Formats: sequence, C-alpha cells, structure tokens
Amino acid sequence: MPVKKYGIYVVYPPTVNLRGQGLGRHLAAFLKASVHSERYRFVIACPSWTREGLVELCRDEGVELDSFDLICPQKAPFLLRLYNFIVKLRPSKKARRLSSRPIKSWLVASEKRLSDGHWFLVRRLADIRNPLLWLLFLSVYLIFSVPMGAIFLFFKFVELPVDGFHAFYGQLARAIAFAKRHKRKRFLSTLHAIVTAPKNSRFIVTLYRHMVEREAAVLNRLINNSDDVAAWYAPTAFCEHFSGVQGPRLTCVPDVVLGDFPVGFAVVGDDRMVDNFREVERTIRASDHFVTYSEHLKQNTLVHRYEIDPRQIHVIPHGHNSLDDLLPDAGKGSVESRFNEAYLAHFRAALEKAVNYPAPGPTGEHFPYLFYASQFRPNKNVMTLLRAYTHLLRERFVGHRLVLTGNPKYYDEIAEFVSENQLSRDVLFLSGLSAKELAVCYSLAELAVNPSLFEGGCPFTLTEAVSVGTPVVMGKIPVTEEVVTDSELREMMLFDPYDYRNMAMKIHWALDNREVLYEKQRRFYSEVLINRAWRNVVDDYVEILNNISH
Amino acid sequence: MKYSKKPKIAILIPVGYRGGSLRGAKMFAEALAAGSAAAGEAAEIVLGHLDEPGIYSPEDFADLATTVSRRPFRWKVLEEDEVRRALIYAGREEHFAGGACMVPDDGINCFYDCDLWLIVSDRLQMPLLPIKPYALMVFDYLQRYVPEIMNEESHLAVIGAARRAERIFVTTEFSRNDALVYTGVPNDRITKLPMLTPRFKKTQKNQGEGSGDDYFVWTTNLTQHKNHERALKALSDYYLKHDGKLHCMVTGVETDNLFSSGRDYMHASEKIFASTPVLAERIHLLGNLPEENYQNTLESSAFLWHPGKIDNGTFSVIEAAHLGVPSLSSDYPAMREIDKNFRLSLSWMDSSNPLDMAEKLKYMECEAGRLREKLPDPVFLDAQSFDNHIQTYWREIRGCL
Repeated sequence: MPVKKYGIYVVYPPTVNLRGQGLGRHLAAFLKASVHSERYRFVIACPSWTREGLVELCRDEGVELDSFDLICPQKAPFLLRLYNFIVKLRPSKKARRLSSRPIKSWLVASEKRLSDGHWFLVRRLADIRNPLLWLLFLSVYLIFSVPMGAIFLFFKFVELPVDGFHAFYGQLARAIAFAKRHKRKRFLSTLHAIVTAPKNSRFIVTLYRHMVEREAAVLNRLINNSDDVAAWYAPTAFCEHFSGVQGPRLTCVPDVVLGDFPVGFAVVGDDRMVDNFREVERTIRASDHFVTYSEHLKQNTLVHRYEIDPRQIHVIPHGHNSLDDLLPDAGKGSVESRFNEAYLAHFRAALEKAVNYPAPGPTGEHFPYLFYASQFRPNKNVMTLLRAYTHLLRERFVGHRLVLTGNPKYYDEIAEFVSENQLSRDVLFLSGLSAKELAVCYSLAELAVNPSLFEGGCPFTLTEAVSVGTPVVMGKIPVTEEVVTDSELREMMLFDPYDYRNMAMKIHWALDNREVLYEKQRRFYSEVLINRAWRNVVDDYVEILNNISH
Repeated sequence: MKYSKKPKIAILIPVGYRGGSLRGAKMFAEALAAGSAAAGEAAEIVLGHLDEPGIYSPEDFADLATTVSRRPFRWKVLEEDEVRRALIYAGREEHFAGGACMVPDDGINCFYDCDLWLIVSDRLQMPLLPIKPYALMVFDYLQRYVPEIMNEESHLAVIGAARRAERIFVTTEFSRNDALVYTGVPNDRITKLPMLTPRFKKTQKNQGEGSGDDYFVWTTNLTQHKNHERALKALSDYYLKHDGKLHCMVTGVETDNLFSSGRDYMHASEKIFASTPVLAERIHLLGNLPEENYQNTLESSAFLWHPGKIDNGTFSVIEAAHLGVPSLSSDYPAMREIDKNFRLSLSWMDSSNPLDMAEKLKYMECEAGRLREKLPDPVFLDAQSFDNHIQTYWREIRGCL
C-alpha cells in the first residue's frame, strides 16, 4: 500500500520560537505519530527562518529528522540575516549581567583597595607632627602615587570593554535624547526602536510583513511544484498565505478570542493586534475546510459569526495534557507522594520567582494555597477570581494563599486591585516557571482553579492538576461542558464564572471536600480523559485529510 | 440567536437611582425573567448597577428575585482608537462614528456576554460603545417641563442616546408623546408597555372602614420636580387659614433632612419652613421607612398626598388604594392615566396654585371617609398587577433580540 503524504504548513514570523509554544508541541505530536505509521508521512513546509527552530524542536522532542520531508527555501532574506547578526551583537541583559559581573566585581574591589591605600597615606601626611617623619612619608607617597595612578587608570581602561555594550547603547540613548531636544528625533528614534524593540517600529513591521509575503510566495511555488502531497494542513489561522497552496486545505482555528472580548483586547493591545486579527479573518474567509477543538467554537464563531457551512467544519478535541511524566509519584494521590523533598526543592525554586512581593520574600516553607496557571488575558477572568479570593479571605476567613503565574506589571487592573485590597502578601505571582516547577506548583496546591470565560477547547487545567494529585474547580463554560458530561461531576466542580460569590462558594466547598472531589475527578481522568491520547488526535486529523483529499 | 444558548439580557441602571426608580428597574428585571420562563424561553437576566461607594448596599437588593442575577459595574471611557479596535473585534466596524464612548465595565467582559442591553432611563452622558444593541426604558422626560434639571450638553446627550437606541420603551402615553417630540425618534421605535406595579400588601380593613389616626402621608424626596415650595405654602394655608386638623407625615428617600439639605433649589422651601412655626409643629419628617413600616403608616392615615409637579406617575397612590386609603394628587397627564387604568377615583388639585392645594387638603380632611367607599375593588386591582403583564414585557423585549 503506497504511503500517502500530507503537508503541514508552518509559516510563522521570524520571532516565533517553535520550542516555546503550544504549536511546537502540537507539531511534534504529529511527527511522532507518523513515525510508526505505514500509511502516511508528513511533509513540512516552512520559511527559511523556521528551519533551525524546527531542527531544535525535533531534537528536544526526540523526532528523527528523516521521519518527515521538508519543503523550505534555502536561504533567508539577506536583510533578515543582517538584522539577526546585529541583534546578536547586543548581549541580553542576563548575558551582560553574567559576563560582566565577576570581572566587574574584581575590578571594583581592586580599585577600592588602591583608593583606600592612597587615602591611608594622605591621612598619615595630615596627622604626622615630626617634620622628618613627615618628609619620609611624603617621599613614600610620591614614589608610590605614580604607579598607583597608572594601575588605577589601567583598571579603568579594562572596564571599558566590559561596559562597552552598555556604553554604546547608553550613548545611543543620550544621542536620541539630544536629537529629540533639537527636533531631529524621528530618524534616531526609528534607529533606536529597530535595535531595541523592533516590533514597536511601524517601519520594521511593514518591512517584515513584506518579507513574510515574499517568503510565503516562494514557499507556495515550491509546494505547488511538488504534486505528491494529497492534502495540506495549517495548524493556526495566522497564515493567510495558506490560500496560495493548491489542492485540498484544512485550516485549524483554535479560537478568535478577540472577537469574544473586544473591549478587553482593544484596551490592552494596539493596532498591531488589529492587523493580526484581520489576518485571521482573511485566513478564515479564504479557507475551505476547518478544524476546531470544540463544538462551541465551531457553532459560535465559525458558523454564527463567519457564516461558514457547518459541513466544512470538523471538531477534534485535544488530547490530554498530563504532567505526571514530570512528577511520577505525585499522581499516586497520597500526601507523602506529593510532599517529598525533591518536589519541595522545586517549589522553593518557584517561590524565588515571585514578583511584586513585599520584602522579605516568601519563605520556602510550604503553605496551603489555591493555584491558577495562566497568563493574564482579558478572557482569563483573573479579576473575578481575585474578588472571590478576597471574599473567601476576608469574609469567610479561609486562610489559603492564591498563587498565579502571570506578571501583573503587564496588567494594571490586577496590580491595582491587589494593592488597593492589601493582598500583596496573600497573592503570589510566580512568573517564568519551568515545566517542572509548574508541575510541582500544581501538585502541592490544595486546589487548582480555572475561572476562564473562554478557551478554544476544554482547559488543560483539568488533566494537568488531576494527573499530579490535585482536584480542580472550573468555570462553567460550553467547552468544559462538552468534555465534563457527567451531571454529578459538573455539579461538584463547575461554578458560574460571572459570579464571584458562586465561585467562592464552590472553592470553599471543594476545600472542605477535597478527597471526595479528587476521587471523583481521578476516576473520570482514568476512565475517560486519559483515553484521548495525542496519537488518537493525529489519527483524527489524518482521517479528515484523507477524506478531503478525495 | 446563537445555537442552543439561552438569551441573556442585561438591565443596566446608569446612575445611582434609589427609591421608585430602583424599584422600577428591579420589577422590570423580574418581569422579563418571569415572562421568558412563562413563554418557555427562560432567559438569563442580569441587573447591572453602579459600583461606587455609598450608593448601594446589599440590603437594597435583598428583595431582588432569585431568578435575576446582580452585577455591579463602573462606567469606563474608551478613547477613539480603543473604540475603533473594539468595534473591529466585535464585527461592528460599520457602527464606528468617531470620538470616545463609554461602556459598562463589570470587571469581567463589560456585559458582552449579554445579547441585549436595556438601559433603565436615558441618562447617558456619552455615547454608549455600540458593541451590543441597546434599548431604553424611559419613565419620563421631566427635563421638558423642568428644564433647569439639565444643562444643554446633557439634553443633547440624552437625545443622542435615544436616537442610537434600537427601541425606546415607555409606560404612559404622555411619555410616548414626549419621546416622539423631544427626541425625534420615529414612532415605530417607541413602544408603550403596561405600567408594572409591585405586589402590594392588601389592607386588613374592610372596604370603607375608617382610620383612627389624625394624619395624612406626603411621600416625596429631594428632587427638584417635587414642588416642595408650593406644597409648603399650601400646608401653611391649610393650617393657618383653613384650621387644618391633620398632621403631615413626610416619608421618602432623603426626607429626614428635607428642609436642611442646603441644596440651592430648596432655599425657598427651607425659608418658608423656618419662618412658619405651625409647619414645624405639624410636619413630621419620618425619612425613608422600611417597607412594612411605611405600609403600616400609610394604612392608618386619612389619605395620601401627592403634590409633585410632574413625573411618570407614582405607584404610591395605587399602593394607598390597596390599603384602603384615598389619595389627593396633582393633576397632570401621567396621573390621569394611572387613575383611568386603575380606577382609583383620585381627587385632584392644581399643583401650581397653593391656594387650591390648601382647599383640597381641607376637603380631603372632611371627605376621606366617604372617598374610601369609591376605591376600587381589590379583585380589580389584582387583575392589573405585575403577573398579568409579564408576557407582554417578554414579547416586546424579545423582539429586540
């Protein structure tokens, strides 16, 4: 039986790192599934700048590079290569800190010692009363001051390269300030933006879009010249150029969340977000077949809002996203299995990443807490969770902490609420957690909470928490109800996400009935959720690709 | 409507209304919840109110039906760019007219989860962000008759809000005419709904049975159109020229400092009160009484006095009839409609003429017993109640979805 080829269209901007994204894991799942298949093989089409990231992703995920075909332009545009070269010259803050710190410390310490020595001699000259002794000290001072001065100047000279990059950008900033004062700001501002924050420069964004457009055209030509791919799949809706691929096409639309939270995203984002939104809309309008993760998204967004024929839309729910491979003992359910020393060590490391915590910092001792792992976005409903938590703490005297993983400096409303309600010591923001630290935070929590108002599919919180021994309560939203179909379990674990009191009541109940809730959820996880593995997901995709290719 | 999704309607109180307006908003919400359930289309009704310190307390909503959920909000102003982006994301870019807008921010999703916004009154000082269709429930257009309660900018804001609304709902023919003339909204976008009245407590007295107490009740508040100055002049005449025997019990929001509020438009009233000793002896400021206390006070009174200049009508005369108490009312169109719809046999006075008002007070003192016999039958009053209008309310509001 001949092997059928299916294409995966992975056209992302140069700034997207596949390894750090869910779409990278999604892609890896596809590739792993195809390794053992005798029926199909994947062909990945990507821009030149994605090749390196793809190779790294495959290495991290244990995927052999010869397990799939690759269509990719040979070289990246010269301007992009030049830009990457310039950017690499500028060390990251961390790199600057790390590389300069020991050298700088030694230099500063040595300068201090020289300076102390110099001043010792000077003070002696000031207090000696015997003229002969004074003359002797003066001679010593004069003899030593010349070499001391030379050594001091040498240290200063050595410091310059260490501080060189700082100085360069410092000079640039000063030049820009000068130019602004003398009304020559536009050019230097543009230059500054290009180097330090390119995505904020309208000029760069326009240039980049043109680059992507040209690269996609080259890629599409390569794709259309090879005729052995039965059907193509684009894993996101951020690829309007996918319409240039000839042949059957399947587009995944995970969500169009801006359309469901227009005010929130209008306030936190700027016109770049509008450009992205319009690109998604163009992709949708130009596509033939669609995949969504939930029936809700299919109906509510694609059918109702974009008037897509429902027969063109296929629903493929996610596979389960468990964390027990990171914490093998945690899912056993016993307190001892969760609270072992190795896990506690990771927990302490996680606590050190607390931001905005008043001094002294949180201690490494374990404490009871509620946990919500999410970035801060308008649809994540963090404010309602904070209100519920405040109610529990101040009205019901539930003394748990609340641990979140977003950074409030990017969300003023959250920071202000915490400050105004004096919650700084009760609400912890742990930003930048590693996968293991995240898993441990789930495992050691008394309860995981997900108040989100909208997701493309059932939130991963359910499988992530239960897999490492922690029960969870969640907002009653359609995508969750599509997966949690048992009425008794719904009653136990779902709350009205629009009503902070209802949320608080559910959390309180769950804390008082933790074992009962966990047992029910664990059974559901073992009997139902775990059966939905990623290889099953890929099989579903392949079946659809096969169908549309006929 | 979206697939298998219950309709969700937000009823928003745009300013810090209390008293009758707040009660009206709560009844409106309950009518829609009950009406949709009765029609087999149970809608989710959310009552939104301002979330600013000192305006509301949980007790203000203790009597809210459990079928209505409550959500506080604050008005958030979006700059032009934010408005444009929001409308693009909401798929309503064609509604962008430039300029800033305001949106009710509930700290969740700005009521975007609701399919329709019903604003109770038209007191919107800026254009509402048009991400959802909205309708207005306007109880009155007082500003046509008491223009000093609003500046020119506010007049334009109110008219603009009306013209951008999907529909305007009113509860009297008088207000419908005002909506047509004052706002310029076409007739086919104005709908008159029956007046909703609360489920009043019924009297324990037999019909026609008198009261043993020696007072009447004046239900009022501190707003400008309540005609306080003329009312006090009338009371002064009643006591001094007509030898009035009855005391005057004053109840309502903020009435405990009715003559010491310091508000500009109350200066003349405060002066009259201070310079007429008999008023201080006979007028008793009871403040805003709890529901049951108010009803007991009213039930034992000789009659209810309503000397306000103009509004959308007051339910207090209907409540008085339920309790077997006749009423003396200012003569204006909305009260004539209430009198006609509920067959209350109200007695009338000219609210612009304190002499007439004083004569009528004396008349009521003498004739209250006889007037009780002309009050409507309780069975008839029940037939006009809340429960008989809920389906009409739902049918009309559903038409906006």
